[in-house]
Amino acid sequence: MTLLKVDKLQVCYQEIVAVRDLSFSLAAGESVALLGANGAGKTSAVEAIAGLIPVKSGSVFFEGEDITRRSASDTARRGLSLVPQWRELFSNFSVEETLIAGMAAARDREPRTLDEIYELFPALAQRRTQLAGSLSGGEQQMLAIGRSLIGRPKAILLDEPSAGLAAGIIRFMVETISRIRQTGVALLVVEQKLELAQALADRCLVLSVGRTVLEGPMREAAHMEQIRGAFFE
Amino acid sequence: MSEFIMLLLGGLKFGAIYSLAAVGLIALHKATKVVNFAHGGLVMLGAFGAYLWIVELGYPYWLAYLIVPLIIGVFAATLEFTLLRPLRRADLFATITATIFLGIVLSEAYRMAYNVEILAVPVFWKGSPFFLGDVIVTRDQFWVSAGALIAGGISIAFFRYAPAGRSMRAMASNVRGAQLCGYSMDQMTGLAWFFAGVLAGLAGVFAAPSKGVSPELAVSIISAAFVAAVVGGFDSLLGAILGGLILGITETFAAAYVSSSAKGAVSFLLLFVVLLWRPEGLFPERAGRNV
Amino acid sequence: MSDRIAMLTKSFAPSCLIALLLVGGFWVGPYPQYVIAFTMTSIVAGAGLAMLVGYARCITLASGAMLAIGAYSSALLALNGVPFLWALLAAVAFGLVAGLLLGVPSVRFRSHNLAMVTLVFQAVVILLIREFKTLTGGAEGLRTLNPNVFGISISSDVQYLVLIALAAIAVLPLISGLLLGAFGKNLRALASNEVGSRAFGISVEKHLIVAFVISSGALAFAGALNAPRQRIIDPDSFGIILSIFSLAGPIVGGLGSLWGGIVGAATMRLLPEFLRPVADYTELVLSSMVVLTIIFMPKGIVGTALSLVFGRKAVARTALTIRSTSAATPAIRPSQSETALVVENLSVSYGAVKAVDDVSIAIPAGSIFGLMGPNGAGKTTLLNAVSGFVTPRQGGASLFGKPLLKMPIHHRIGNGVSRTFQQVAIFPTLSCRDNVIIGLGHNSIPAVLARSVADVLSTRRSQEEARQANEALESVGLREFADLPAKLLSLGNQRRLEIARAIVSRPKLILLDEPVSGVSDEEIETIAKLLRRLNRELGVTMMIVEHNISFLLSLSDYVTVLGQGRVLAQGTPDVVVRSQEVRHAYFGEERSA
Repeated sequence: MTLLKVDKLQVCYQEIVAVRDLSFSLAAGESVALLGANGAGKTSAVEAIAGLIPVKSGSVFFEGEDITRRSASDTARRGLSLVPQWRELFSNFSVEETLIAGMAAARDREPRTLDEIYELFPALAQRRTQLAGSLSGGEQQMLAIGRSLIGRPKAILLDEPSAGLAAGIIRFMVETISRIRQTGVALLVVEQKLELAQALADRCLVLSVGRTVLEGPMREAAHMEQIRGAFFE
Repeated sequence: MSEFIMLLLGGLKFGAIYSLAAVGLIALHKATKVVNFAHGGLVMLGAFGAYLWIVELGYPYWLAYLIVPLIIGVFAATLEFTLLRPLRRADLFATITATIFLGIVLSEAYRMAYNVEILAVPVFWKGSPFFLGDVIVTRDQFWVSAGALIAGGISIAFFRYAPAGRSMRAMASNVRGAQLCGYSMDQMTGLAWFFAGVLAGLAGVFAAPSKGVSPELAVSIISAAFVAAVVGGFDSLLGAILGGLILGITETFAAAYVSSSAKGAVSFLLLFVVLLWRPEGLFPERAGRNV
Repeated sequence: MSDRIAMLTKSFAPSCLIALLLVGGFWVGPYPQYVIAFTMTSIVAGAGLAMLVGYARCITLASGAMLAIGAYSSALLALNGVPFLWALLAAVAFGLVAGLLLGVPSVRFRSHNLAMVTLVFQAVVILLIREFKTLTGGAEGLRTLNPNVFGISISSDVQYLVLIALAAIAVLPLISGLLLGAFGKNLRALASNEVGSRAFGISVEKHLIVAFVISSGALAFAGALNAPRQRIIDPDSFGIILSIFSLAGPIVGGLGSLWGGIVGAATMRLLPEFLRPVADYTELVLSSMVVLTIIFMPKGIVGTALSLVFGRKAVARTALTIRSTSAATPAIRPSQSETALVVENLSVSYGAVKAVDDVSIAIPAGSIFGLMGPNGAGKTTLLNAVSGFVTPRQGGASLFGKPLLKMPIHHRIGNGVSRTFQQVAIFPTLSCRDNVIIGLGHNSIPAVLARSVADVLSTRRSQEEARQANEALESVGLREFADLPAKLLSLGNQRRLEIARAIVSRPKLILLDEPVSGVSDEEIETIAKLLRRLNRELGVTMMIVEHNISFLLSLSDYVTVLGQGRVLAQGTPDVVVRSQEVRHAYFGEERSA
């Protein structure tokens, strides 16, 4: 069943077209990677899908409903949650309060419990009362994902979850995200790091300067070289 | 000595009013980044509302503390919805100047309706004053000081712990992050203005007996609230309360020991000194880096 | 020559308006003459406020105090036998000093804090006037005398009108000249983008202080001229309400425009005359009008009228062929063996996070040096440290041997360092040419004031600056947009404009922060060619931070890759690309062995 359908999406940043003609769909429980170098338009694409920035043309359907012009808060409440590239946490909220804030997205759903999130992220459990602004990069990323997850979204858009993180944390992140997948949440992962995307996604789309240059299943080795080549174009 | 204490208590009463006004101003600023120069006008309308309710209409006094703030809250939210929403995309300069002139509109509109110089409102708690040794404490002093401070405290607690307060703080901290949590910017902004209006109205009802209702109340309150906010630390709600108390007490002592006109100078000198010496305020909140 | 005539005409146009009003005044009765006289003084005040509020975007609530200072000082001097013209001059002097007293502590603040500091000043001045009863007459007021000019006692409305007109005609060109010239442009620049202003030598604080001083002088001038005709001056009439309605002038007339200040001030002065039938409602009507103007007509009267008449020009975004820079100004061509920039063990921290961790690089003179790395690697932070926008925790940097880090930002342009910004920091309301002229860096206060005079007189110096700017615009392909406001340009063209501004001073080192971010593919190619050409022709060393890997690798002579604040690899592009560290940073590949 198609959960998210993006059709000929065009997103403009000032008058420059950041995303041209992006089309793809995401089925329930599926995991897709959106790859490409910086400036390729990946962040603009997911932010437009999530409703943070306006869509120039094209449409976005979630669970069959047209959410193209909907606000970010409305999209979040419908169950399409974005974990943005810069995390956008609340620096003087504690870990626990941040998670409670995230529950606001669960309007017609039962939010997850705090314990469920703490179980996934033991490091957060140890730092319940610590302020988000004082957490390390990896902990902040976990908190951002936790905040998104607690609203029991049906699909999560992850924008560069590994940005600025050390190798050890990234491994943990991959494991955790795989566990999240197992709960049935669909994922769209935006990434620059190929290997990471490979571990997380079934399919991938490679963007270059706003356009899709490659699309297909992740696993095939032949694709890896093509993808790397596409990066340096 | 007893004179000193009585002056202190007198200053405390006015300080409590300033504190409550400042909390409303700061809460709105925290949530929306707007410094509402018309906040004083809203307090004046609150005082006027108290006059209408108690003196003109003769309804029960205690109800004024509930009804008037609600009405002013709705009025403030309406103002935001009609006039200021188009300004949300505009720059800070436009918003600040718009609120400055909006404040004048409110004072002038009131002056048009009620040409009389100062309207008097009776005190809430009538009766003979209390005696603590040589110190005389009027019931009004006690009621206003305690009431306004408690109201301020409850507001801070609401802002800090209630779900609605959390949503406003989230919006204050990171608008995008708040939206991604499912908080609607429009609703949150309207709520913040309602909250600020309620506090303004309440401050007005508390202030009416001691300050009287007049257009000048608007200017004097916004100045006092602003000074209290800066002295306390502009984004700190607790600082606003403490700043208000410091201001009220300093003013009263200046009026008693220096001269009555020094009263006006004091608040501004306090502002000036704090801005130059410690611009972040005396009790600032820990600033967090945006993550 | 025609430029000179145009500039002089613009500077004297407000005086011509005064002259017209004077002529018109001869045909009307005494009361209208009285009104016209006050309108003339309000025009002078309006010009002063255009400078502070309209151009520099400072919210001032101290106008009433400044008007009071002018009124009281001239009135008191006149009462003590001083001839009016000397009293007027003294009043202006007091105004200038008051402006300095207000400006110096105020300029560290912005927006609402600035407004409140000016409110303090306002309140204290009025309070002092009220308190010093023996001198000023206190709250009851002070009677003023008819002005005594060259032995003539000015008593009739016509005489008064002539006096005011002559005084205004004399003073207005001074203010309008400053606003039309370099000073006004710098004010508009710093009001729209402080960061870009500082980078090119504009000391924001000093410019604002000068704006406070001059506008206060103009207000004192107006107050002094009004006082005799007001018969009695009292402190309450110079209160906060007067300040607020003075503030309304530039807002209603139109910000960023001299004529906006003039038209707005005149409007605010004249409207009450038309509201006589509903005199009680005057303040209500005026303030409502201001609120509605801010919301529905944000450009003000003059701004809205101009955009209705001229409309918005669409700017073509075609890629233009780029011609070579002219050989007229020889380039500084440093020898290849010199090192332009040396960074040693630089570390920058944000709280607990080490954004830049012990980085050392050496950029050979005349080369193009690329700085790349994944998100959060510290590239922009490093660039900000070198350009002075961020203070490193430790380490050093030197430019051709000269230590760099202790230099304040606005000195760096004078030492040969210029830069572009990740988020384009051009000045949207200024023309492209004016944007580039600021890039020349002659922005110390004495230089700016001298240049303003030069601009009005259209001297050779001023024309030379314009020529250099045109040349820089030509070399980036934007020559035909020279007169257009920079905000009309597309993003790609705005980035080119930034490059033009960065090269016009023939710097030794240019720091480019993501010069092709958000730009279309065609433009990326053009900008790459442009930068290469500028580098070869001008011999200027370039350090470029970019995410676009192919752009950077094809353009750079040398590359450093940062990862998590540390240097991962350095060398020529082909070497760096093959480095395992780099591949790991970008692709997460496991390091072999």
